[in-house]
Amino acid sequence: MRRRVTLLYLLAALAAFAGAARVQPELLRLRRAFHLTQADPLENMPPIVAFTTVALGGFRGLLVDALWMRATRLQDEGKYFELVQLAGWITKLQPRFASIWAFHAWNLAYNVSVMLPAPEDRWRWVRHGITLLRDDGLRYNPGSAQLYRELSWLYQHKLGQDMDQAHFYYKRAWAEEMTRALGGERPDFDRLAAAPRDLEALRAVPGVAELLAALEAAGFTPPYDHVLDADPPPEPLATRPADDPATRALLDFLRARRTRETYRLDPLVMKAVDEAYGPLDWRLPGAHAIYWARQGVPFARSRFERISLERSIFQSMADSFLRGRMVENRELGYFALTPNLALYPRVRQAYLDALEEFPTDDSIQVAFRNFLSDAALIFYTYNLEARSREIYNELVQRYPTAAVPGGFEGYLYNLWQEYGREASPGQASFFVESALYQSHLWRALGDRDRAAGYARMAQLTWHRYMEIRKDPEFRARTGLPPLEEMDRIAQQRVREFIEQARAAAAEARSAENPPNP
Amino acid sequence: MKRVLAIAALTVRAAIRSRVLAALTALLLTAVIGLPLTIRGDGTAAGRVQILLAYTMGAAALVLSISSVWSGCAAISQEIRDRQMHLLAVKPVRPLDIWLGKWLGLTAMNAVLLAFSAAVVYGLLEWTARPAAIGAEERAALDEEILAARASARPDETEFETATREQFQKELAAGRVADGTHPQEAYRAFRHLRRVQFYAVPPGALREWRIRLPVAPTPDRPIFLRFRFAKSELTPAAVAGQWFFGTGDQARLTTAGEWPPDAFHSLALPAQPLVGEREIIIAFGNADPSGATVFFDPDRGLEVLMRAGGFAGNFARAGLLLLVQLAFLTAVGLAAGTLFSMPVASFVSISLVVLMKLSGYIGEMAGQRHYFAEAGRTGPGVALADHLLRLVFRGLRAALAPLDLPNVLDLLASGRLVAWGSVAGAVAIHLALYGGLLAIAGAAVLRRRELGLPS
Repeated sequence: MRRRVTLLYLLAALAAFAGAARVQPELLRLRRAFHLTQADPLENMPPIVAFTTVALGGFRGLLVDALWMRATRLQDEGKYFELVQLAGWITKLQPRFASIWAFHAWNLAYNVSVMLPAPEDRWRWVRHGITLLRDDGLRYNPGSAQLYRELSWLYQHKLGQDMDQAHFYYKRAWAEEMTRALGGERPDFDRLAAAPRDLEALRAVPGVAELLAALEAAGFTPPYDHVLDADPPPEPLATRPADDPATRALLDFLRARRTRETYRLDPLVMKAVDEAYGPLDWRLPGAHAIYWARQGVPFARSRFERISLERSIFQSMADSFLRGRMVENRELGYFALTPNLALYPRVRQAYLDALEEFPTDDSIQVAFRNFLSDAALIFYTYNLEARSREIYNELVQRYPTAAVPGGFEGYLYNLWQEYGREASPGQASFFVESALYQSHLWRALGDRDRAAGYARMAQLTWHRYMEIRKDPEFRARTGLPPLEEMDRIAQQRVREFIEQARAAAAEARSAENPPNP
Repeated sequence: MKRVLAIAALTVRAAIRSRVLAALTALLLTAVIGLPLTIRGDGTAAGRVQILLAYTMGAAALVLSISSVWSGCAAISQEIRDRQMHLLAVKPVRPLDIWLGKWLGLTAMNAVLLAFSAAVVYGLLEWTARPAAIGAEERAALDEEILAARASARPDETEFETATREQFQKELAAGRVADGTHPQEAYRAFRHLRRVQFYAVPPGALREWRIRLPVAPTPDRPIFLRFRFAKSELTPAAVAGQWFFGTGDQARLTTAGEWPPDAFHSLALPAQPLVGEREIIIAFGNADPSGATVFFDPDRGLEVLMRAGGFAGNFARAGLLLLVQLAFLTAVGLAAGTLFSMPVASFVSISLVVLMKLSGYIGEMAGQRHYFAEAGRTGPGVALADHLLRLVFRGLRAALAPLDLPNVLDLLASGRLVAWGSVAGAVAIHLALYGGLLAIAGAAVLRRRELGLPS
């Protein structure tokens, strides 16, 4: 009798387990769908996380306290070599606590980096912060809007802004990495997405097996990752034509793999982001700030989280408009960022979207007003007066207090004067560059006096701006590039503008007088 | 001595027979070789070497420390429980011989295991820093800053102390100390303030400090000035200034620059102009245009580092210091094992070790005057309770303070000198004094303990 009862219990337990196993996937799906947990349930949990979260139980807290105290002490003593490991342990002991990840990434990228004098050392720590969030934090908390926002902030502020003395170094280093990974400012997203997923599939492409054999003979062994970093490119690649299918397949494969595995970027998502907010220069941190903020939006569960992510997007876009065009001269060691005028409609739309969703949020209203104000002046200084006037009209229509007695010209004059006094580095840069642009444009149009006037204005502004930056640290961080180099860029822009105007005129002419069939 | 050696040999043989030695060797090997494979450094060669030194030697020291306490506790208490001690006690050996023999056997075993771990770590270190793995520049920096034994010196505060005491006496005599304030507490606060001023440099001012060098500079090795300061403005902007180095009133070297606050900075100075000098003057001129006052951290903010020896010697001395600590832990375990059964002995020993680790906190508590009263308690018993607690903390501090040792692995990983003096001091205090007391106490207990009680 007793045995039968035991058997009955066992059978009941077995049935309950089977039932639970059947219901579990559906429950997990519903948890995800309704955002019932802070993060998605983890599958295939790494052993270290499984061990720390399950086996250590309540003792985790004590261990974390001890590690945290050690990290604080070492940081205070200027001994940074253990901090990456300690941050890794502390976060993995509480892997689902998003704020811990955010704190440690911030600590490494902001607090530790500025303790080091050399830009390359600082950059290493900024990268440690980024990788901690991107590679581990988001892996264990794939549904945490906070972590997406923090990662976006690191790109937008730490790399994109000019608060750090070494910000130019970061921007350059990041641009170099991205150029190697993506092949240029605007990768072919479709080709990256369609690239072979593994070496087997790659070898199946005609001609690739021979190419890989040649690379191996040249010292590039599987998984061939260093091919992308080789400068100059490996001989087997350099000697083939650029449109060689095998070369293209290999480069697409390597780039797609690095994009996905190292930088955790999905080419199709990049494409969607670029279509929604671009055209973006993917070598610049702004594009990545937008990418990560956009990825976090579906996981925002509160108004605050949603606004934070939207703000990251439109602020990064506004930054990209102001400084979203990269100019680099490797020979001269020169690197600068100038306005990306093509982004204007998308940035405006991003603000409008945010305002539609949060119509009463003052910070978005103020940011949009400032953006319109900057845009009106930038377009005007690039000799696009009609566009500038259109933006000004929108500005005063939306924000009537912006109107001044002098109308459009009066407003721009006041703004010009204001910027001359308290310009941010980005504003000062476009202020000088646009004056130089006007100078070259008027010279091309034959008005030499006017051209000389603009050139004088550019010189005056450059010197006045740099004069008050006597402190070398402040100068290095917020100073402008050499005037000669800015002049060269402006000249190049005018040349491009004239070529475009000529091409458009020729097209119009040919449209008016179509060739006889 | 023969008897002690014979018992030591028996202890080692028992450890080998019970496979304790083999298990420990395997555990150490796993820790020493496996750990570096899982630890992430900061991405630099220096970071890798420091991690290797701190973590692998740290892991070996931890394993051996636990095994020392545990095997010390077990060595006598288990033998008493298993009636094996009878065989030894009835022989013509004194209880002190038994105690010392056990201790020597366990310490010898620790010495072998520690030497084995150290040899593996040293090999790994050489392999990590081999010329093929790191650049010549990185290797040179490693040799200069980490794989070295650098002695440090801080500003001489003798004159400052004398002047501060005299000034305080004047303040006291003038009645400028608030009524009811304990003179010692008032002096502590007064000294703290003066010390902050001693290390502060107002804008446009120049302040100098006298430093006695630990060794005479050699012409081919640079001297490093390591400094850190805070500034009176809450901005991260660097502070402009100039350093002066020299002897007497003569500044022989000057270095101008800008340094951000709150970070450690290191300046390498050519030693040539200072060769033969044992006392130098360093001075800092604050030329910051923003007008910020600079405050050097009085405890760690200003020090001179200079090479006083090679890494191999330092590594060996660090190993010796670790061995002394292990030998002491063995003695603690043995003494506890003589007095109690195995579980109780383990608990007592671990409690003592924890107490030693908390010596810093105990020292702070001993310096406090009120405990219950400070927590808002009132009543007739509060003063008495405070007094008793103060006595307990002071007693503990007096007992534990001599056992405080510098963190030898931190010293090693930061290229700091582990001095022979520290090793000799540890031998004298940990082994001769405390170890001797534990041995005498253990032998006395063993002499009186009834070994034949029915279980």
